[in-house]
Amino acid sequence: MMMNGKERIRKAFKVQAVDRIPWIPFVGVHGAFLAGYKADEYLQSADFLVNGINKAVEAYQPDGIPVCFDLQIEAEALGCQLAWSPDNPPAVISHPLAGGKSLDILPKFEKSSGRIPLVIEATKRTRAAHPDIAIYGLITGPFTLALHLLGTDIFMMMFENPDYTNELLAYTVEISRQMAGWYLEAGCDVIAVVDPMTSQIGPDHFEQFIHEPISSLYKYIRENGGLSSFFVCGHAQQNIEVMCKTGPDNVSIDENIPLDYVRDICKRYGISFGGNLQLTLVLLMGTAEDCQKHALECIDTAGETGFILAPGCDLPMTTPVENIQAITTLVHDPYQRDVVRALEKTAEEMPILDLAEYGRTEKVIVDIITLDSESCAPCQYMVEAVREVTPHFEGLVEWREHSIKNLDGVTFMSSLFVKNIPTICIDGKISFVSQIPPKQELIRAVQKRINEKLKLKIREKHGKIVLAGTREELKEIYDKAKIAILELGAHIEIETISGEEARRLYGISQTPAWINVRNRIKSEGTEPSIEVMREWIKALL
Amino acid sequence: MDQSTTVKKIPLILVTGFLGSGKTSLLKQILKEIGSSRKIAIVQNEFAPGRVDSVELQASGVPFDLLEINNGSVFCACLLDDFISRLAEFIRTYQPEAIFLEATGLADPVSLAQVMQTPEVTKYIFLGGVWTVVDCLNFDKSHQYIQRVRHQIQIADIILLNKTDLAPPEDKLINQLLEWNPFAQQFRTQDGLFEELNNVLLNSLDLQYLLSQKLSLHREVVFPAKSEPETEGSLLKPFSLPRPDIGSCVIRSQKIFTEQSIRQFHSENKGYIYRMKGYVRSTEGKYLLIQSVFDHLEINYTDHWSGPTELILMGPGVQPGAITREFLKSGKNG
Repeated sequence: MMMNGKERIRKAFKVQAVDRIPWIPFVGVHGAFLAGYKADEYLQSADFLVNGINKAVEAYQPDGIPVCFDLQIEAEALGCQLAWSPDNPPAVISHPLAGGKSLDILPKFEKSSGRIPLVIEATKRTRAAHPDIAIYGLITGPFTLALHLLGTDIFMMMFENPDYTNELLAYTVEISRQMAGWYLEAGCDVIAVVDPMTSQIGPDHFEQFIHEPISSLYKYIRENGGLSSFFVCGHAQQNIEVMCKTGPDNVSIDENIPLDYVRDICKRYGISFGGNLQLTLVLLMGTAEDCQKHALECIDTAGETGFILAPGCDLPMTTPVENIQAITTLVHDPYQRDVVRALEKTAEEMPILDLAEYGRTEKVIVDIITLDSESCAPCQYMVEAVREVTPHFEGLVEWREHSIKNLDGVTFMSSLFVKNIPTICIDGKISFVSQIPPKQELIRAVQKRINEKLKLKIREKHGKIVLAGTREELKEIYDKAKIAILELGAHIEIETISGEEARRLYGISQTPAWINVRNRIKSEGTEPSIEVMREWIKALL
Repeated sequence: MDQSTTVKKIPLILVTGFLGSGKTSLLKQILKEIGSSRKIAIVQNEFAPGRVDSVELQASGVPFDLLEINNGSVFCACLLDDFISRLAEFIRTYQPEAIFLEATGLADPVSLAQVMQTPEVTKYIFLGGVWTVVDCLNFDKSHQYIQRVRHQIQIADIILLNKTDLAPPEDKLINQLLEWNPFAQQFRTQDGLFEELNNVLLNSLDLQYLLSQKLSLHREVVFPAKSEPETEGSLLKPFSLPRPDIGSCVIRSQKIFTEQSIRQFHSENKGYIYRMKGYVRSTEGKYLLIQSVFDHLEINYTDHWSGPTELILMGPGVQPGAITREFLKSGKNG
């Protein structure tokens, strides 16, 4: 039975079987990009956040979505100064506890502090708008919040004043607990404890300072009906095992940790895991094909159970939409995975054909690029649709299937710049992508091409007569030619030129002369490449 | 015509080190040393209230061009996409001969280098090296336990042991650094100043010079004596040596490679990869420490690395996309 996103995430978190891999694009300030805002205005408006989330849900069909990816919310409410940016989340630029000041100086942390009311409002509205997907409430992890409050002095404090460090972490985890409670009340399904700064310490310090507070946080989340995820980014491989020991439902990592390593440890602890799509080189700078290939690698490495496909962290603001949509397609369409696999297998040895002039034959050629019509249902339906309409055209149309399970098919697909399977090309032009066209629509498209070809042919036959010689020499010929054209009912232009011009243009040595000139239309409405132009010119030499 | 085809790339030196280790002091010394003879640009993404670091640099009185980056987060280099366009614009505007990028103390230098692989900036720059400043005073007390400090040391070409006046480095420290990164050159500095600075700069900024030295391994570099009359005081002049058209690339991969596959890759590509260094994820949970200069390739097993493969490649034929694809072909999924 088909699950909804929320069920899928819940099952995956519980390491139970799912109908397909759950997918969560971590849309933070990328939501601002989708909805046309600057990052700073986006993160300070519930309306803008909701608009961004709605755009992301529409574009990426996720199983879960975070409300707000900003690890500075709690810090700001506790008195840290922020520097805002139009392209990124804000940065903390002052640390109220710097030097080890007493925690008493911090303001009271309340539901009405800082931007908390607006993220809670955005959570409620997102919950109401998207009841079927899992809503993630992201909270700043206790160690990262401690670093915001104290600054990098915390690393020294762990050695010089462990009691102070413990006191601070007991305080920050209480903040985390309160935030988790408010997010759960507002309708979040998952509380993600984002604690990237734990990647800066080793397992000994983790166990000494982090284990206890964060374990109590996961217990609290569980007791209040929520699912918990431990987000870490950076080089945190050394801590995966101790992270699992704190008892989250899920561990989420970025590209700095090999996925197979996390898979093996999480499996041992019966914990689900997620990640670790590469943010920069693949999602931000790569192509849609790179993204699909990489996502498939992640899926293949992770396995189908207890895994959530997600970027390693907050998506860079200007990540190309088509890249994330390509992953959505891969997740939702099992055939697309086969396509990516097939393409990868054959891509290395693949030549590219020059099909610039494809489709100049007498017949109309309909090419169907498929995974394989025997094993892929949409491919089969597309092939059948074409097969059914071709008899209407009584031999004028020829169709061919190109399965990308073999090299020829891949070559053909790439040479025609086809990106999706199945696709119908009519005379080399991509005409129907993925969707099986209704019979009448397909007939119309083929007929249109037949008409175009006919038109082209008629126009190609439209030539002219060039008569060369003096006025006296041509007088009689010209009149006779006009009568002949009239009698034939044709519409042919007669042009007269001098003997000298005729010599230069046509190599004529004697006049009067009659020259038939046929205009051949080589291209229309397109700009041919220089290589193609060169070939046309060569034909005239 | 694309301007990049006619412009020789300039070196970008990544200056790393934990907060307070002395990166800004080092930059001040660099400016003093070559700021008047070379057009130097400094990029800072250290975000401090009141722009303390940049004010300190400007107080040195030596001219330089400055680009300050607020990357919005100390956590993720992934949030640096706006940084790329700003850096490219900065280079086009000021046309420096070399760039020193001072990374935040908590920044992941490899991610930073990786972000700079985008075509928008690779047409202007190549990664000339990673210099890591180590705080000798605080190393024993805490810094050696901070993972980022270790990471910065592990990927360094040059390690600068700073504050040696306050805490002369003991053998234990030196050996620890050698264990983490046996290939980096180590220098002792006070307030970022050290005797060999000019030579190190020459080596890093004029790659043609380095290439002419027929070096085997980086740490075996023999510098020309500073007292040579023809070069004294003027080792670095504007465009003193021609710059080859160099490319650099950072490969980060979760695939698994064998020693044999690395040797084969090196053998097939050594004609256009002058330097290759980093850590490679290998079979059975082991890691390989790789260092190559020209034909010479050294591979050792190491217990001091975890995570994905991280390799930095440099050479005239190094184009990030193509060379990465070529390298990844030899790996297997875990």
